[in-house]
Amino acid sequence: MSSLQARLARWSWDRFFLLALSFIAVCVWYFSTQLIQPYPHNANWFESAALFPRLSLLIVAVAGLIEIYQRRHQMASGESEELDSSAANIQDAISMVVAFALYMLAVPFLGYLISTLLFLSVGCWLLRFDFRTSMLLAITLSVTMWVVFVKVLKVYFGHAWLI
Amino acid sequence: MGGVCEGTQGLFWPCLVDLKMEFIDALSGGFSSLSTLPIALALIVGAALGIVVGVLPGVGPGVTIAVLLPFTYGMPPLGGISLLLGVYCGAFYGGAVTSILIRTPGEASSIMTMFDGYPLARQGQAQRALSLAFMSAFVGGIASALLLGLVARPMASFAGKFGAAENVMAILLAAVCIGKAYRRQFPAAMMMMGLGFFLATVGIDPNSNEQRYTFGIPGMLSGIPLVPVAVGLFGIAQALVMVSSPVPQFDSSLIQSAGLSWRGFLEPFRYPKAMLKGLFLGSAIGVLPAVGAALSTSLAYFWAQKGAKDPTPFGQGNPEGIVAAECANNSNSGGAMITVLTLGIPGDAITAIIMGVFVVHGIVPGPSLFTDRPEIINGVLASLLIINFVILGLMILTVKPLARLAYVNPKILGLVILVLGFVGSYSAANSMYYVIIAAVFGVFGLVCARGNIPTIPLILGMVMGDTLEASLRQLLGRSDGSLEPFVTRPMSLAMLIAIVVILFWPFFMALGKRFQRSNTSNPS
Repeated sequence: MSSLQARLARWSWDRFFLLALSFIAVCVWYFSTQLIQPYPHNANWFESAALFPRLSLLIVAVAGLIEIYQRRHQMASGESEELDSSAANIQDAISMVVAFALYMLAVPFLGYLISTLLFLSVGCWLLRFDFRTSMLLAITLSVTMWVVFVKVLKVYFGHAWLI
Repeated sequence: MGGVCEGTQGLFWPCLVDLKMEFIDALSGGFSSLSTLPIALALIVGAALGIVVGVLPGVGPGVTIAVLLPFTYGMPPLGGISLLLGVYCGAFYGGAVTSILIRTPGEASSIMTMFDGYPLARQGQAQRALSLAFMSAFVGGIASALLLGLVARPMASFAGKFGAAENVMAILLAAVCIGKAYRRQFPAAMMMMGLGFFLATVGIDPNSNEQRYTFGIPGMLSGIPLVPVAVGLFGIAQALVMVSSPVPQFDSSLIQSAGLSWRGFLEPFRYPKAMLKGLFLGSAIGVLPAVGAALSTSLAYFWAQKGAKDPTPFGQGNPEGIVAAECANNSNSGGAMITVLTLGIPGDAITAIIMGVFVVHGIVPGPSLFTDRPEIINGVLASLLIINFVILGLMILTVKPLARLAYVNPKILGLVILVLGFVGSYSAANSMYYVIIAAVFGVFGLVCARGNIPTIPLILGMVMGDTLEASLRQLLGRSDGSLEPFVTRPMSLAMLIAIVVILFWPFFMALGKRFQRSNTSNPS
């Protein structure tokens, strides 16, 4: 047991992430009978609505486990079009995600213009821009977006307390 | 769809004449489809935007196309496609500017241009390098559009003979090719592809009306929409990386020397071999699913080194390096559109998102598109041709001020993308549910990028999932659950063999090596 614990302690977080994805896939596969409503118990296997999703989940689980096994060695990222986040500061990213979540919550209550203005101001503050740049950027961008999307393109954000 | 010499009994010349006439007809039809003001405007705006995002640090065509996708809802289908194609092609040109002037390729496919472009710029020949790159990209773009016009129709008439078994095998073959493009990350790519297939099944099953994996959430009854997933994975995830990464430092001394020279414009034609190598590899690799422009440019670059006419060593400012790389880079676009239009299989993430425009407007890409909506096919062909002329014109007029865009702080761009991602995903259905999906997939994309897990296969899986499931169920329903049709139909069998060979190729190679080693160590 201790050797297993020691082995798990050496695991990088991405292997745990892959394991979690595979585990979720297995759970969803197993509980498909409850997650498909009403479940076609009497249907032939090849006519069942569960066939394709279950096959897909099987691919997720099996491929995920193979990937976890392969990742016992350091993976070299190949030449690809994928996003490179190696230089990203995760704390900054998390604070921006939180700000974005609050922005999503604020729009129905405060309105698009005020929420965007607040989000951009907070975003600039999180990115450590000086006050003048922050205000200039936040006001110009939020007013431009509001004019373009709300006034010109007529995107309706619902009734809010403010604008 | 009679373009494959059916009435000519194998006579090559009449067949070629038929093809030429069909091509000219298609082209004139395409030009007339584009002649309305909204579509022409969309094309010009897309081209201009593409050039700008190609130059802007950190913003690629993928992000822009993902964020723009929701805004194409209200446009005519051809307008939306032209807008996104403009961005797609424009970014190839724009990427060369930063590669040559500040040694910072905007895209992975522009790396090879940097190897010889930047040394040329350092030698005081920035204008020559830029002119070489733009003209080579222009030739690549025009050639790929012509290839699309010539190859798409015969290929569609061939694909028209596909039944459900062939459709299933074609998609599986594409999926395996996509996975293999990730080399050692093959299992991770297949995992994400499987996840994409699964996500495509969420919602009400169109065959049986059962609710699949909706967890009782009303919004999920209509499924997980592609638009917010694309906005999240490509737009929001990229924006989060941009705002949280340090601002890249670069030597900006060469930005002032941006410009063009007429001699440089004509120079690529002095290296026809390098040009042809780039065109061949770019177009051929563009057709393959998921094998993007990055591979074709690097292969073309290394191939051009063999038998190069210019004596300058490669990597120290050889013009043939720029010609081969840029020709290959821009000739990808037409190739990638061939599989989308003829088979409904996207060549890469960007064409997968462009396919979203078709889906949104209820247009099913594939062989039937050539008979049902020929104006779309002809319009795409004409768009690709015109876009290259528009982009070249815009580059000539604006290259000097354009180069200054490299100074823009990527953190500010990241904030702008977040705000645009919000309004883009919201406006797709005037629903906060779409924004929540975009945000969730944005975070998921960031986590995957951090863990070196590819996300492009997820989008490709989502796009292909519906067709794969429908074809599989159709086939199994007809054959009472028997898998025999996969091996009894010759095309399906050929694709199945190809899948097995691609999947087990490393094992065959290892076996071969083992056999060879045992033979050499044991000559008796």
